[in-house]
This record gives sequence, structure tokens and C-alpha cells, in this order.
Amino acid sequence: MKAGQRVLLSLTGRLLRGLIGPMAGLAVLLGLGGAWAIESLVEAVNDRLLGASARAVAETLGVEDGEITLDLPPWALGMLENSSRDNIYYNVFEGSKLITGYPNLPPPPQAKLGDQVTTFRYGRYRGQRVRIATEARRLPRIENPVIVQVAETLEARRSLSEYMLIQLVVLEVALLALAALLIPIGVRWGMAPLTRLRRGMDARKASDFTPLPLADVPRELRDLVTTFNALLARLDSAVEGMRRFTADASHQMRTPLSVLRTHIGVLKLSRIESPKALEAVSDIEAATDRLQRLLIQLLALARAEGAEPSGTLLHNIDLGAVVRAVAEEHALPAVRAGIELHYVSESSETFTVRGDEVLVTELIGNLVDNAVRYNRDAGVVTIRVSGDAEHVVVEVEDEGPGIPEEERDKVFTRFYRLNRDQSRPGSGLGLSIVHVLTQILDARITLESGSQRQGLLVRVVFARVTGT
Amino acid sequence: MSRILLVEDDPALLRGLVATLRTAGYAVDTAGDGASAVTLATEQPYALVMLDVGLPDFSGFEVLKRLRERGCRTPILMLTARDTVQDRVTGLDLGADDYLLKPFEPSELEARMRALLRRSHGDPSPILTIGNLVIDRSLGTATVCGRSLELRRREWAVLERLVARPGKLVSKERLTDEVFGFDEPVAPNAIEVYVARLRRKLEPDGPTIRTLRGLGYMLDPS
Repeated sequence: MKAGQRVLLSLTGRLLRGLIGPMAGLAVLLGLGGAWAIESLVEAVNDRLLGASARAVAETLGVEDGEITLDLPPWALGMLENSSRDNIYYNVFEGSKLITGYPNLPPPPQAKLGDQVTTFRYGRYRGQRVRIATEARRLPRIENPVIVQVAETLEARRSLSEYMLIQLVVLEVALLALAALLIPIGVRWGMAPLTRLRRGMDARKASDFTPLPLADVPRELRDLVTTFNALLARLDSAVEGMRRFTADASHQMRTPLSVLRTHIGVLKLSRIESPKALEAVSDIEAATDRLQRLLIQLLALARAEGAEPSGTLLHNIDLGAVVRAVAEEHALPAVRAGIELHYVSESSETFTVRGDEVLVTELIGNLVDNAVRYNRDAGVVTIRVSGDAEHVVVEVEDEGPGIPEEERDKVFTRFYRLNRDQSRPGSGLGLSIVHVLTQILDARITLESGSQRQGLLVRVVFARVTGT
Repeated sequence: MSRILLVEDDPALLRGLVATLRTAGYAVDTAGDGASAVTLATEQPYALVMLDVGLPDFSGFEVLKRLRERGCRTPILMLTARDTVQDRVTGLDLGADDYLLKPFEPSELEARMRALLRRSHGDPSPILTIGNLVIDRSLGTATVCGRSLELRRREWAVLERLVARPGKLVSKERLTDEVFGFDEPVAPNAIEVYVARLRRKLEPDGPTIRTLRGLGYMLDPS
């Protein structure tokens, strides 16, 4: 996957990009618009003063003896004074003839001037940009219109608009920073239903196939959750089908096996003379035993794998009592096989662990069964239960050939059999079942050499439940 | 000879079981479905009913329920191919006396049948035979190959407890409780002493008493 694609795959990332990008664009537009507005505002405000000044000058124009008179009051130009020390210039023309004031600030073309109207324009005077207000008046008995011009340099205007622009920029930066701070919070808040949904799914047991409730699912996710629920339902029926299959298979295979065993019994009861027939019966019996063991192991494995994962069906059990019951159950087969079965419990205290009687029986039963099978002649199988503050340990030890260290990892694999056992009956499933069961029971299993450096010692460690 | 009813719908299994049980000396009637099983079991005085759970018309559990509802007290041994604990509990709750999971050894079936018959008849036969060992509970005698074992009272009690459960484990605690009275002072190794003496007397041709360390004792029936 390319890096660019990965970024786009984060919803939060997408939302942040989608929100912050346009937001920054908007901020730039707002800035440009603001700058334009500030310029116009500053111009308009200052032009009012400038125009008023020009009008004040024009009001004092008079005609005396055919001559234009001007009584320039000090406040007419004084109103333009400011802290920026702008230069102020004025002049009065009659037509294009300078009557008074600063020369070299020519009036605009006559056509653009109306009576009683102030016009504004930019110009240059003494090397500086100036704003010029022009007021034209018609005076009685004067042929040409009298034109009054007042000009000021732009220092005050520039500093005002600069000040306002800085204000605007500061405001925008603050706004953007606030947005950058708040948007992720908002996005997280917006994504909260998704997080809740995911947490809810995480918290479910692996075997829980009940549909997710649609009530508190956001509308946008509803289709997704509905599809997910449909998937759950299909999975549920598949698992249920598997479970039913296991139960049915178990049921269906047990009856034919019973038929086989019963009829082998009948054959053995009838007097068979031929040694060949006798051999055949005993071979059939051995094969039936093997088949039965294999099928029962397969079913046990399927059942164990279909069992709920740890924590769901586990409850407090007295491990010592369960292991002892397993030992008692295996007493007769062990005696029949000429094996001595020893049960050693470290003390009479109760060893409470989280577990399940049936699963533990299956687990320890498989270990004891192996220990009896793969023992030396007249060997001993020792079942030990001991515990410390935190653990309860069950050990099953035999005096057989043991398992070479390099093969100890592999024996938990299904149908894996040691080379030397290939000729002996066995399914290669016992330890796989044990392995699956230890996982379900949250127990740890280790294989090592027996205490006399021979045989196999299987140790299963459970977490002890105390204070109950 | 005990008359028993065998309810099983699989014809091959039925034939095999009938042959096995007739050889063992039982008088066997058969039924292949639930309805005829209920009829037969209520009309005839059987000593034992062996009932398969999976029947074509209704389940063995249902047969069991109907029989118990009609007040039938005959011991019932359920045969089943269902291996879940729940099935077992259901069967026993409904009033089955024992429960045997398929596939089973014919000898196991016979042992369970004998146990059930003994229980229901108040154990009419005082004579028990384990291999070469014959003990007569009414006379309190034990012989191996006709040789009489001279047993003291406690030795007899220990042997009798073990013979009653051949091939089953009898824990040392239980044996102690059953052989000694409550207020008798018992040395911790008293049972071991009696078992050792019994072993000597059973040798060389009698059955063996096995010690399973940490578990108890077992009379090896083989």
C-alpha cells in the first residue's frame, strides 16, 4: 500500500483535512476582503475630513470689487492636523490662474468638476503621494469657477490601515489556532459513536454471535452494522452446524462401533478352531480398538476447539479432587496394562483453580492414558498435585522412553507421531487435544525428562484461586 | 435365570447383544421401537430393561419417563451414543439406574447388568467368584482352587469389601471406615497390615490385590 493511500484510509485524517483545508482558504479570503474593506474605510473616513476642510475654505470665498477674497480661518486646515504630522497644502485657482496657496499642484480638468461637489484624487506633490480634495464654486460676477484644493500626505492613512490590518491578522491567526485546537476535539466527538461501536465489538466473546443492537448506531453506519450482523448470523449458523455435525458424527459412529465390538464378542464366545480365524478376530479387535480411540479423540478435539474460549465457561473447581477422580478412573486400565499408578498430593489442602471438570478430566485423562501406554513394562505412572500461593501444578510422569528434546514442540501437532511409535497403535491426537484444552483452560504445559533422567514428565500449571 | 428386555433399533447391534446375553444365560426379549418397549415393559415382569436412547418413534428418555410414570420399578440401563454430560444427567434424572456409553465392551455391559440385578434383588447370591477365588458370604468362607483360606475377622472384612467391587478402586479411607467401627482405635497402617496378610494367603494362584499408591486398593479380576 502506498503512503498516500494509507493517510486517506484514516477517517479522522480525512475529516481533519476536509475541515482544516477549506478553513485556511476561507481565512485567506477573509483576510483579503478585510484588507480591502479597511482600505476603503480609512479612505472614506479621511476623505470626509479632507473634503470638509476644502469646503470650509470654499465657504470663506468672497468677491470684493471684482476681486476674489479669501479669509482662511485657522481651523479650516487645523482640523487636518494629526499625530502623524502629515503635510497639508492648499491653493485656490480661478480657472487655471493661481490666486493663492501652494503652486505646482494644478487643478484637474474643468470638465470633471461640478458646482458644490467635492471630488477626490491622488496625486504627487514634492515627491510625496498626496490625497487631494477639490471643491469648485461659482462666484458672482467671476467668469471662471473658483477651485479650492486641499491636499494631505498619506502618513496618517497608512498608519491607520496598517494598525487595522495587524489587528485583522492577529484576529485571524487566533481564530485559526482556536480552530486547529477545537476541530480535532470536534472530530473525535463526532467519531465517538464509531469508537463506541468498535469497543462494543472488541468486548464481545469470540463465540457471541448475537447481532449488534442497531438502536444506538449512527445512521451512516447502520448499513455497515446490518451487513455485519448478517455476517454474524451466517457465522453463527456455520458454527452451530459444525457443533451439530460433531454431535451427530459422534452419535452416528458410536452405534456401528458398538455393533463391531459386540460381534467380536460373539465371535470370541463361539468356539473358533482355525488359528487363522482366531488371528483374524484378534486383528479385527485391535483395529476396532484403534478406530474407536481415533474417532473418540477426533471428536474430543473438535469439541475442544468448538468450546468457548477461556473465561466464559470456567468456574472454580477443586483441581485435586478432579485429578484424583481421573486417577481412579484410570486405575483399572493401568492395572490391566501392568502399570503401577501412583497419586501424590502434596497436602490435604484444597487446590482451587478456574476450570471446568469435563475439560480438566479430558486433559489429565489424555496425559495419564499416554503415560500408561508409552511406559516401560511394569513401569510406574505418578500423578502429582502440588501448589504454591499462586499456582497449582499437576504433573504426570512415566518411566517410558520419553520424548527427545528436539521433538517436544512438535508432539502437539495433530497426527504427529514419533518415529519409534509408528508401529504402535495410536492416533497422534492425544497431545493436540491436550494442547487445545490447556489453551481453553488458560493453563501452561511443559514437557521435560522424568526425575530419573528417563521417562516423560508433563507439567500443567494452573493459576490458583485464593481467598474464596 | 433373569428375563430381560432389550430395546434397540439397530438390527445388527440387537443380534449381537442377543447372542452375547443368551450365551451368558439371560432370557432376552427384544423391542425395536419405543411404543412396543413401553407395552412390553409394563405387561411383563422383567428383571432388567436395557434401553437405547435413539429409537425410531420416540426417544429412550421418553420411554423411560412413561415407564416411571406408570409406576414401573424395573431397573433400567440406558444405552446411548450421546456423550454429553447433559444427556447423562437427563437420563439419571428421569430415573435410569445406570448409563452406558456406546461403544462398550460386552463384558462391561454384563458387569453393569449383574450389578443392577444384584442391587434390585437384594443380592440373592451369597457366592461371589473372582477367578479362582470363591467367597460365600452366608458361610463367611473363602477358597482358592478349593483350598480354604483361614481368614481372621478383619481380613475377611477387607477381602469381602474388595470382592464386592472387583476391578474398582477402593480408597484406603473408605476401607478403614468400613472395616473398623467408629470408636475403635485404628493404627494408621492397620489396613496395610491386613492387605499384606491377605496377599500372602491368596498367593500363589488367587487374584492379586493391587496397591495404587495415594489412591487405594483394587482386586484385579483378571
